[in-house]
Amino acid sequence: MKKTHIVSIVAIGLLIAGTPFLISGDHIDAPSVTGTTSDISSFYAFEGENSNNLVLIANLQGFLPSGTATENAEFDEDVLVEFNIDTTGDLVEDLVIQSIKRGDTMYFFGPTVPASTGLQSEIATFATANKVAISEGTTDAEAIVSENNNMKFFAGPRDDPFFFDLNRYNAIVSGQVSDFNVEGEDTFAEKNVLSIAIEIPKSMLGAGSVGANPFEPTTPTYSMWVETKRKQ
Amino acid sequence: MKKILYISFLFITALALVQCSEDDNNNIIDPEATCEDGIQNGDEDGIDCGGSNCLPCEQGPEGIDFSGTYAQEDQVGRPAVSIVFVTEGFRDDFNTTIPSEMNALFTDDMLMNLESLNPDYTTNGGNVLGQGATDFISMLSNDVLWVAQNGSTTFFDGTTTLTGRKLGDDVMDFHLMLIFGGPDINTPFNDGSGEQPLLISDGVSENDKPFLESFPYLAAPF
Repeated sequence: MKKTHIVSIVAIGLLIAGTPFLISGDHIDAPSVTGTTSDISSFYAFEGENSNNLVLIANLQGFLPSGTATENAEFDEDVLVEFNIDTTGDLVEDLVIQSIKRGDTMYFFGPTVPASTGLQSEIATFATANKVAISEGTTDAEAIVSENNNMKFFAGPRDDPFFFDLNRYNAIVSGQVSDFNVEGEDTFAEKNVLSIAIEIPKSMLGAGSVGANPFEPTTPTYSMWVETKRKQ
Repeated sequence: MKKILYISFLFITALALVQCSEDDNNNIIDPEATCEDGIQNGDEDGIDCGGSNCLPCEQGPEGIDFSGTYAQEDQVGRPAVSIVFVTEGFRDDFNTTIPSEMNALFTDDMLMNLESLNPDYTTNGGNVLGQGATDFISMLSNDVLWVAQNGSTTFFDGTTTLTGRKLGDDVMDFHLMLIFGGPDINTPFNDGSGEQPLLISDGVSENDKPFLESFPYLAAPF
């Protein structure tokens, strides 16, 4: 009976979502995360247009060329993307915001005190939950944004904001050339990434820690990082 | 055949329950709230679940399965640390180490990488932040991004240092300056003048597409 109930709940979820249920994709058990669905390319954190807010952005699966590669790129339902926020300066997360894909939607949980810190996580379904439809990957696609609980959410392909002459850097490091060009070439130009963006009131993250950043010793500061974690 | 009947029964049950929950919404606390409006409202415990009208949240919003344990595969704090300082031999270990343990485990390897990138780092007098090699690498080996709770958030803008990372910050030039430029930002080493190689800038100072002024700030895909 219990099983029937669970299956019914899933069926209702599908009806509400109006989408076919997507079974998660293949696992690639590479020794390194490079090129996998859990590969984080970069992390950004900055004050929003509204200075009461912070914006957190995690980019994954870098170097996606325009066209079908970007249009077909997908977040992995088995990969949890977790924003970690240390508010006390001890390098241990006090709050997390978790995001994970189900169907055509990205779900968000938190900010919340995690059930446990460290290398293993469970999804904090007890926390404030939000979601946003995953945006399209076509060229110049509009961003679908959701706004709820004073937070904003986005998930989908975007232009990779990172810029660097990585090819020239690699040539320098490997000894092929001795220095950079005055006019460099952006290795990340015209490449896309899968982005997850959150705008959140600073008030939801607490006061921060004075002294965490020795170069701005009077500024209350959070220490932040982003992790990807795969379902076991 | 029996299985098909069983699945059909489940589907009809599902439809009936949806219908039921819609009906129930006519007399609830918040007349605006429904169990399928995609937000947490009324007396719901999560998005469209829990409370007096919607299905329970045990499996997360909308009854979707969020159960299980998730184990770490990658982590990023500051930009470019993994490109520049965390080389192949210990990259996987670095990615699966919690920040509070990174310093003890990886400072020595990262110091060797700094030494091989710029053998003159110490001779030149450290970096523009006043750091000798050990202080510089000890900071980077705790791979977290400092983010100011108030005021300017920037990786480096000439006056404010390491208070966040904006989309347009030229983080690589700042890293290169720290590694190759020596202690004086006004008369740096390795600036391409005279006999010196150009190592303090990669010659790319901005993204190839302008960013948006409002959320999500990121430019649309190519």
